[in-house]
Amino acid sequence: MIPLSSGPIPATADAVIIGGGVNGLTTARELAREGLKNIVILEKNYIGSGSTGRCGGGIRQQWTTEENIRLAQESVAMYENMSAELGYQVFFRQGGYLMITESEDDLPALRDAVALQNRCDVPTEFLQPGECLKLVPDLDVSHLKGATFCPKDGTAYPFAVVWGYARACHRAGVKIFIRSQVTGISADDGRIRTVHTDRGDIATERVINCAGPWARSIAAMVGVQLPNKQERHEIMVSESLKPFLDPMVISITNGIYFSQSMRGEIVGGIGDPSEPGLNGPSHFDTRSQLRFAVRFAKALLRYYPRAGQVRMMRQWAGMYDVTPDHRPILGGVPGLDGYYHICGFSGHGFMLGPVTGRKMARYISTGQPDDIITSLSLDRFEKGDLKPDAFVVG
Amino acid sequence: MSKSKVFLCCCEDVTLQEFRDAFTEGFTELESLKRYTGVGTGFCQGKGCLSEAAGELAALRDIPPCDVRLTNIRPPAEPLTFAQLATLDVPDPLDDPGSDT
Amino acid sequence: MPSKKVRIHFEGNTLECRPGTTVAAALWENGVRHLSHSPKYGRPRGLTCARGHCTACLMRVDQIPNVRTCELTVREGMEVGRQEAGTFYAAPMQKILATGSAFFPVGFYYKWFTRPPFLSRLFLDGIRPMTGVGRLPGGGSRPLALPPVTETPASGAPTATDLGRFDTVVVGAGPSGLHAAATATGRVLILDDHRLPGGQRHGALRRLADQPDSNLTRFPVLKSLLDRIEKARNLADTRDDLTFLERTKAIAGYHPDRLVLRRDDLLQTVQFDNLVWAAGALDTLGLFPGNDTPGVIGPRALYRLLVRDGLGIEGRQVLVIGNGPDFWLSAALLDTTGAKFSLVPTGDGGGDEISAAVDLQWPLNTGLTLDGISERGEGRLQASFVAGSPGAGEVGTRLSMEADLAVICGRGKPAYDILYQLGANLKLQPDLGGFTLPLSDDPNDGEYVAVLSGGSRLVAIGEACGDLPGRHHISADGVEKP
Repeated sequence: MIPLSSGPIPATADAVIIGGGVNGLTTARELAREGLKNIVILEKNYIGSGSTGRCGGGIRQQWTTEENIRLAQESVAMYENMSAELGYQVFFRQGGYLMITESEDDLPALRDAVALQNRCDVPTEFLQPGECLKLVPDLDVSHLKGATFCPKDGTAYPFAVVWGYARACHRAGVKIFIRSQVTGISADDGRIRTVHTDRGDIATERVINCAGPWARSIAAMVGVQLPNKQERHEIMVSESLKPFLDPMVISITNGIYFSQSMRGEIVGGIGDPSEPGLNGPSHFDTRSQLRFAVRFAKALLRYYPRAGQVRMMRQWAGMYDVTPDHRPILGGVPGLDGYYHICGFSGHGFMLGPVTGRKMARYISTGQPDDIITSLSLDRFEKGDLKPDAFVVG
Repeated sequence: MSKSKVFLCCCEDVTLQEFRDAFTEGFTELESLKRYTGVGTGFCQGKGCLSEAAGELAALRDIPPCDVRLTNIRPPAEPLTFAQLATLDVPDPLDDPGSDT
Repeated sequence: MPSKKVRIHFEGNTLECRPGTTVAAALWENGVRHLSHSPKYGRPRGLTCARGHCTACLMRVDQIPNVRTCELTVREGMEVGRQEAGTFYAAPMQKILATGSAFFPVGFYYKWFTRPPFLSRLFLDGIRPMTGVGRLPGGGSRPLALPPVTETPASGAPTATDLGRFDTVVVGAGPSGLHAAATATGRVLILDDHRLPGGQRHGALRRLADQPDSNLTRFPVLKSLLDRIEKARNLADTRDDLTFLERTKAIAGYHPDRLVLRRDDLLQTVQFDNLVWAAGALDTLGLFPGNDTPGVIGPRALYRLLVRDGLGIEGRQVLVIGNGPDFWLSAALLDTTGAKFSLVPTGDGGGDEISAAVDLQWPLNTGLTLDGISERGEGRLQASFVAGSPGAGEVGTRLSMEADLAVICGRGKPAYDILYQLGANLKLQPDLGGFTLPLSDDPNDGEYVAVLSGGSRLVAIGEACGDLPGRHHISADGVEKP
């Protein structure tokens, strides 16, 4: 049963979560497990309609700072048990991530990253180009200089995660209202008071901003200025073929990523250097461009020529909620009790959503932030305390 | 009486009954029905079934057909190979002024 | 001098085919009616749309998966095979799912085998080989060939071209599109997936008209259709600055003003200030038990199979069920072949046509409602009907008829994908056949208009907006009523 609430919006709630994607749903469910009752999720479209439902579903641990690695590692552990825990199949397949590069200059940093990951018990290996053929037999390695591979990285199906968490929310008494838009948030005396929607007002002491691309405008409703920018990213799927590709392949050199889903489709994308990202205005337009299809095709054939006669089925776009260090923004803000945000995942919301939802739920219910929440709080930008990752791809 | 099933989506083997069952489970938008049942996600990308599915959804929700929101139809309208795409020149990016929010 | 037969290889057998026919038609003539199997239930599928927009005819050809064999011309030495289910337990699993479908609720694979984690992983490993259709291209003993083309371009290797920008691009050269192209201002490009302009019914109507003692005049609705098409063709002929692209399909629309066109394997792009969408409609078979049985087709499929592909149906049994101009055109076209046909007109109206059919002594069965179609062995259909209109609780008289093909005729479904891709706002209008543009308020516009985001204008006319064939035209001065 997918539990969407019908009927009027409640007049009060113990927590209102804005956004029905991976962040809103995982946070709500974890909050309910922490014992909070009367939780309401408000989603302006349908659950998973934002970035969560548009993403490629990739989940990796191959990061270059210990903090990022540990966070991702916890997330992978959650994904490994997620179907069992939710009683809902999320199709998490650990085919691994193969990260390839065409540049000698990347190799020292890659080797350092592998060493660091190994120290954190993440089983990544450094590979010579020829060794990649064991993993992806038809890969064209003639351009490559090196690669890394972690067999425990993988992919899951975003909508299954959305539905699985929605059901768990429902069992825990969370109410999910779709087609319900937040129009304003009132606070006074440094406390959250009311969330205003197009279907009525909810008096509440806690509002959690999980609105992804719209997090910045939600934050503005309470005077919180987020540095986030919205970056368009396009993605495509091919026709559905019998399994032939086990890992996700990512090129550090041109930013292409592609993997084969459980349905048999190649799912992949490539960044576009003409997207301004942090250096320009936000782009909310999710319409497709021929430019992407052509660029992706050329880049794919560079590494996987056998895909020449494979057909592209459709392409679409979604938004990355990008922060200056490409790391999420968690926690609250001083002087405004009851406001929390979980946003800014810069293209990694699906892979980190479950673990950050769990940590934030614990923080919200106990008041004790853990180290990650402190490290990823909004004030780091003012303090200049940024620890960006070396490889930001996919 | 014919024992054959009535197929809504022939590409993905979704019967009319399965579509109705999914609606009863709580999938009330065409977008989520599409993803959950597979209707419209096959090789023909909905040419054979989306109009019919939308009509069925209107009946199930008891709303006028013109109120059913169509799912996003993504380009291309027919599959084309990566080799064909790679023969095209890369078009320039569109002029999108963007927004501040 | 008779043309030499073309030989193709099909699953270990060598089949002889008429040159110039399609793989799907050739297989049908050779008794192969099951071209593919559906993914979940393993249902056999075969000839359905015959025009390259469904998936029933997808086969592996020369190491390429998912080839639309209804659009592929046979070539000497071609290797054709059905795409298998993927693993030894796939076919039995499909049978279990099909016969026991009541025990496998929709979405069962989301809810079962989720715990404990090792069982979940086992389940995923088990179903993975069953997912997907078709194998990655290549992998055979010979090097992978280029994708088969229906006609090798004279210049050799395919190249891509940008056609530039036109004031008006007209997609579809049926009566509505031709009229629009003839009267549009500026640089005009018109394209159609047929070899000659005239639209989906032109070939069939011409064949009918060219018969000695043609039956065309007995069916005024068909005669007037042909007249409208010829009038539009003549009008378009008066302009010598029209660019007509034959055998070209619009396959993608990118906002605000770009189309990707395809002819065989060649891709081209074009931009427009105004787009006239006159692409017509697709066959709609309807929802009834057995609606996806191999050999259940629509009238546009019949026209394509008989006129372009020359499908050999001499001596075969064809059932025509339904109503409207396509019903009578299908019947009249079949009458020019050696096929044995039987007509089941349904719905109201058609009185004049029924009289003409009676005069021609065509086999007619009135007062029947289609109850379902099933297969009796490969390629042999059995259609079940109920006579009269039994009231609630009554069991009407049942009747069944056998055939090799069943043509279901009714309202077509506007081809709308590209309109949506270009940003048009579509509405579901069942009485127009499906999703169409909404009516425009301005009487000077064509009836169905959208202004796209970049300022380009899009107009849908004819059956592409659910209108009757050739009923309205759009010209530089506005809508011209017939």
